[in-house]
Amino acid sequence: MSNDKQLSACEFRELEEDELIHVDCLEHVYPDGTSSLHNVCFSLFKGEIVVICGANGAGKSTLVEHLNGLVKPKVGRLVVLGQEVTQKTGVITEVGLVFQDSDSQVFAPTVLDDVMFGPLNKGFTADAARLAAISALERIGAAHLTNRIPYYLSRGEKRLVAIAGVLAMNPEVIVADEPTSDLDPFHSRQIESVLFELKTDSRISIVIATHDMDLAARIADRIYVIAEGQVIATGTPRDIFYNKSVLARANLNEPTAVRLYKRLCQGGSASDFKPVKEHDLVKLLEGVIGKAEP
Amino acid sequence: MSSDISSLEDFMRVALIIVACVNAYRGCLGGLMTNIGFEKHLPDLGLITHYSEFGKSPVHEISPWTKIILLPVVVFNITVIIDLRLLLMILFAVVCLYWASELPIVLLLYWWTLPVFFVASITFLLIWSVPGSDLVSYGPIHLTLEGVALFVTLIVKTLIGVTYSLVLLMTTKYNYLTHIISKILPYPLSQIALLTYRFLFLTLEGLKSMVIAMKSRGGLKLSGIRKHGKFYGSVFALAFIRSFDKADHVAKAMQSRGYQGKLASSYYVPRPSAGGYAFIFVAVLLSIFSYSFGRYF
Repeated sequence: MSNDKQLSACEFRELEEDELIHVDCLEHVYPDGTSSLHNVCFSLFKGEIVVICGANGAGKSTLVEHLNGLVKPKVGRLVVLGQEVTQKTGVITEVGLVFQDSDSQVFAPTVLDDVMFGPLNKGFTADAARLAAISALERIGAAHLTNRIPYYLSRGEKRLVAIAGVLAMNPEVIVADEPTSDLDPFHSRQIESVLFELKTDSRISIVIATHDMDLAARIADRIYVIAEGQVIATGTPRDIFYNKSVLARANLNEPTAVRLYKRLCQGGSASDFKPVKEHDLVKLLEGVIGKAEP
Repeated sequence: MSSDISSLEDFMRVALIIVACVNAYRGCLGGLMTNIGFEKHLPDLGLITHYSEFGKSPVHEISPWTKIILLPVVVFNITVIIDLRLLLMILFAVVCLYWASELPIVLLLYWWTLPVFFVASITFLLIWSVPGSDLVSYGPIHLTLEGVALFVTLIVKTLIGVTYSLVLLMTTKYNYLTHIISKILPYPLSQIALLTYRFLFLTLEGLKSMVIAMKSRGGLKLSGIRKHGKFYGSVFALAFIRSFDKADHVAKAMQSRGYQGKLASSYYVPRPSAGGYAFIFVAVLLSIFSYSFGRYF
């Protein structure tokens, strides 16, 4: 049963084919009366990576906590994997949530125990849970951490274990809140490539909440820009990152590649192809240099 | 006049004893805490987990059931036995067990500090009113031999409890504890006990990082504690509030991975061996024997 208290300015949309998560007119108000989400509409389709961009306090984490039913919508509609989430619905474990604070997520005495926690809760036998955990750790290249104590892991390693913890539950969707925010460049790249491989190799749909625009530029198929609890723009990375007013309104910077390209364009060498990733910019520059060579 | 002089001498004696106690406290606790590091006096979650999960001593091989059944036996002993000699023997036995578990003895001494400090701070007020043969007296204040014995007895009882609890926690895998607690306690209580056990570590972790942060800015010196006691009190209260907040995050993370109020346990916990049963039987017999005869000491 859907919640019919939506505001008149926002209308419920039809569910589309292959739509794994469907959010309409979502509202969330903190107990002190502060509104953290207002009329939020969101969609996630099979096999895509969607990035939710926004500054600190924009409402990203609150939205993310709704996506597996951990927080239930009081106003608006949330449909996850075809199941409408109401106040009575339990948490949908097919949507794995990787929290921003891995210290809180990884709490068992050993890494193996922690990764087994989800499968055991799903009713796996001990042996099946162990196999699922080991397989998940291997898939993300963290098999060497199996018998380590989480307490002594680095932040990057803890993040990997947290991802393995949700991966062991065979999720259809992984939602990661600020997955690289407090990591060094090496671990940041490692987490990024793990998430990307999960999409390409395992066809797992991924939602990432971040204010790291370079990460968003490299990895996103679609982007939602959120500011003051509202979705202010949605589109491809190219649509979003060349829209200065949207980024300014959300207090976000352009990705490095876009910033460099714009600086180059000031010299009068604009191209029809607008790069978003560093890789695209390098290709563009190689082309320009190639033409300039005698 | 002579009675005035005698009361002044008594007063000086009491004052000297108090100064000696304060200095001992400063020397033993303060010195350790400021020079070696306050954080070392808080049990280390990682280390406890390391020993419990990967320890290979003979005590690790004992059935978890045996160790857990012995816990109430130990608690019974420290509750009912009042004879200091018997208590010292039990403490010696428990420390030997700790040593046989191949656990770090030096850290045990550090970890003893806070419970001793806690019990001493309470019993220090009690010992002045215990009737018995006076060692020192000034007006209504009497320090008796029995008062000193009470102080030492309570400290020894604390050390027995702390040491055996550490042996149990550091030689038994968490999953075994989970399994046993869920078997012996009814449903909500078992979950509360298990989660309290985990969250206690989170609280300690938060407290530890806060202590380090305060020390790095020159805080937590004894003189500072005297001057800014209220401030430190509020900081420690904040540590507990933060750990509560962290517990909320952990609960969310657990729920999102399918936790619905019952920790799933899939471990087989080995039953006590014949030797284990015999040991428990002997320990229970000895406890009853000690209690019965202890009353006549």
